[in-house]
Amino acid sequence: MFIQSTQRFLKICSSFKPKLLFAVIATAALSVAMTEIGMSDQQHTEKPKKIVSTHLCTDQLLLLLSDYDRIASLSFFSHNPSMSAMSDTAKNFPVNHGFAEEIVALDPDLILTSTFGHLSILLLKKLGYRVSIIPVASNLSDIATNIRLVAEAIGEEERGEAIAVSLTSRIDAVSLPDVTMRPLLAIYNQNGFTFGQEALITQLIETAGFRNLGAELGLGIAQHLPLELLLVHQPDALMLGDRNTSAALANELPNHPSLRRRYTDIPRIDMQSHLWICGTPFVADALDYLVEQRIRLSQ
Amino acid sequence: MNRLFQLADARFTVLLLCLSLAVVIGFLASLSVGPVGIGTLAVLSSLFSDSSDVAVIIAQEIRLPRALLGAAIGATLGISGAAMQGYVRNPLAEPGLIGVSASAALGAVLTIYFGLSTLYIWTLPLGGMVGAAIGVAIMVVIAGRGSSTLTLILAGVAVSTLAGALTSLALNLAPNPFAAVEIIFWLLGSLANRSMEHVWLAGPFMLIGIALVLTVGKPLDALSLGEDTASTLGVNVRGVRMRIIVGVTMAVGAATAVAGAIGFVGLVVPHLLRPLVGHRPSLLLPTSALGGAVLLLFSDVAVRLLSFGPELKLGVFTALVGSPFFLWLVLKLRHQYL
Amino acid sequence: MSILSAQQLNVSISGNKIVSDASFSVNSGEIVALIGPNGAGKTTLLKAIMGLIKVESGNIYYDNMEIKFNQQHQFARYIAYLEQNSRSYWALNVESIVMLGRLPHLGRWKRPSANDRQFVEKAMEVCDVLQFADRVVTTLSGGEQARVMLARTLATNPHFLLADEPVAGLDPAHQLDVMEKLRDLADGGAGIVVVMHDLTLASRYCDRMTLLFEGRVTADGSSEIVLSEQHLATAYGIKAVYHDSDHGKFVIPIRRLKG
Repeated sequence: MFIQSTQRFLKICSSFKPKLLFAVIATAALSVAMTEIGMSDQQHTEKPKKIVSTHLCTDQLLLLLSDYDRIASLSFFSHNPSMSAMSDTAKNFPVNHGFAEEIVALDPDLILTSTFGHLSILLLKKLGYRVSIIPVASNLSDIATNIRLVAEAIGEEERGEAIAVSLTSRIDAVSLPDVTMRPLLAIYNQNGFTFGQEALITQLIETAGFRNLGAELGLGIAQHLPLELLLVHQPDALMLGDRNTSAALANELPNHPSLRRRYTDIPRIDMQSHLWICGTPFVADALDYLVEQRIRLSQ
Repeated sequence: MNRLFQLADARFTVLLLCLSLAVVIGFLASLSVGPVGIGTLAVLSSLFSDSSDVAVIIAQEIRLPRALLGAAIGATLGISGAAMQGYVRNPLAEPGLIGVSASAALGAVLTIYFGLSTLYIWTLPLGGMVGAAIGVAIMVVIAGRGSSTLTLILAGVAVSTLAGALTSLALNLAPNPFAAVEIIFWLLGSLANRSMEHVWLAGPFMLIGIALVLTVGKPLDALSLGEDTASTLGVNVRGVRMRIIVGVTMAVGAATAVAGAIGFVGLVVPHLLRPLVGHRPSLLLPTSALGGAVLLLFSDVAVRLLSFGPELKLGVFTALVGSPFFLWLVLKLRHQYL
Repeated sequence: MSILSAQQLNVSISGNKIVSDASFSVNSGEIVALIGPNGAGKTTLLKAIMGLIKVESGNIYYDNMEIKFNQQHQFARYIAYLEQNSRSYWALNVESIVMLGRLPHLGRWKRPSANDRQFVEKAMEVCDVLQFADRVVTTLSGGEQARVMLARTLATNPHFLLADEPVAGLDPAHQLDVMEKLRDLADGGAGIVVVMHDLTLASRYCDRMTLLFEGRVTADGSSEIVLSEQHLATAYGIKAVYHDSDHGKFVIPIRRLKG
């Protein structure tokens, strides 16, 4: 849900034409100036010293892998504790909103972003900036891959390898007492969204010995789950959206009276969403928590 | 001569009966349609059951509030359109078009995102009503004394746009990652996933508002001849204006606070029914209430049947039905008013 | 025996003095013609008497009850008002319009009784619009619509009727018809004020005349007094010829007086 709303927000920002037009003019003018003094010709071989991340997920990988003095700016979502597992650390860094103009002003050596980025990324590439696009992780093995990708881009291969190996071993160490019974778990987030096939969370749920209702119903990443279907498919556990988010209409649905009435006795799994919405090493904590819940359920 | 009157009375009675029947059918259809297939009879018997069977919960907690809100909000919008048109003597006056719904949505949004409605749930319909009151007041100031259609519509566009922009602004300023989804809800309206809580919150205000508006029938007939003549026929024009303002404000404000701004119902319904009641504003009030309920109930059923993936917003459907009407009305009235 | 009277009315609209110190009265059983050139303040005076316009000073009484601004709805059963160029904003049929005349007697909820319907039918018959009963009023000609609107005021069966140019736009036959109906109404005990421009028609059918000029009552009384050469010259700037016949007095304007 957060990923989805982030994407949506990004789309809205990038469709904000007057601002974009202004950014185009401003950056074009700047790039002319910079080309003339030969600044846009970057040396890719040496370690980037000024790194900007414009995506919530690359923000966290960057914080884990890089020396702090090389980080120039993070995306503005990075300060949100319900979205970012490293929001406390991130608060030490300035934020950007992904606008080309902001980023050009920082004059970074490297821009880290993800597949669903801004239109401004295309513009920045055209202007000769070095951009690394890290794909969204849709399964556990993608996470290690992404860690290595970021590590390589910023020249911290050793650190990356260590973190990736430790993550993989933590995931491999997961053991379940009883895998014959697989309880059905339903994710029901703000606005009635759920996650199904090809979502990272689905693999987490399944690795922890649950089945995911969203995946079983054939839904994809961040899709609407009709309330009536949730009521009919009687899950064994419910994972509702974060309770600490600000007042919003969106919170009404996970609190719908029909859920309270039908599912009073069903265990709620209160997992913090910042642990799993991005493919970071924190998913290991999410996995541990799910396994814990799974063991609690079978007792 | 007396025969003529009796004929008119009989026709009106038949029309009321037909519309009531259509409301009943629409209500049953609304109860019967959903992602989970439950037969109409099963839903009806579930409504009166106290078991905790899934069909019972779906019928009582999801389908019933949706059908009740569909009927009440439809009636609210239909009768509000008819009353406002009767008062300003202009067939284009409608809560959606003149910005009352949009300002009601703004009022509701502000109570939600400043956290007021979490503390005191009743501030939600109250916020909607305060917003609606401002919208209605602007309409009355601008168009109360029979100004041109053009003024009315332009003022409506300005109020709607401003209220819509402020709603979007409020949602974007709120620390809320769902702004985009919710802006769509408030601007287009939906009855999906409402609960009985919403029915209790908004229902009483809608009923009082509708009842208040129903009292202005005969005065509106007299207003067909203008305010001066109506006054000399015993109509307290200021009293009528007050009752319409308070009634529409309460009903539309409460309706919008729980379902967002649903457009065009108040335009289409009175327009379709007017010829059937001999253009009499008094007869148009009850028939538009019933007609509005029919239109919204069936639109809400259509929205559920037509949805592929995420549910279509109700306002999308009513706008699809309503905008062609609006254009046609504008073309028809071009020479008369503009 | 009732009387509707206005004493020393002063009315201004957006700072312009329209009516000055005008006193006016009408008794039951009489027709008073309110005459005067365009812009003399006839319509404003009528509206002020009806309580539709706020007066600066002066009082209006229906017998001994004062009619105050915006309180006219309390007198709706007794005093009817026919607006100039009265029209319907909606496509109502003729009988619904005429039935509106019964509204003061019905109140908010009462449905029309057989008695109400009789009044409506009578009024339509009197105004010669019965044959249009189920026609939509906006599809009728201007003259026909004017008769429908008059029928609406007659259906009220008022003690007083204030009519603003009821014969404007009517053909001669219907002009005579309307004046005769008003005469019948007055003979039946109603007091009638009628704004008109046809001086002959006025002098033939009305008991009294009031000449309004630049917001002031310039003359009041019988047609001999009011339609004097002097008054016509001052108020209208015209010269007329007079002729007495078996059918009453004829006043025919023949030319405009220069400067």
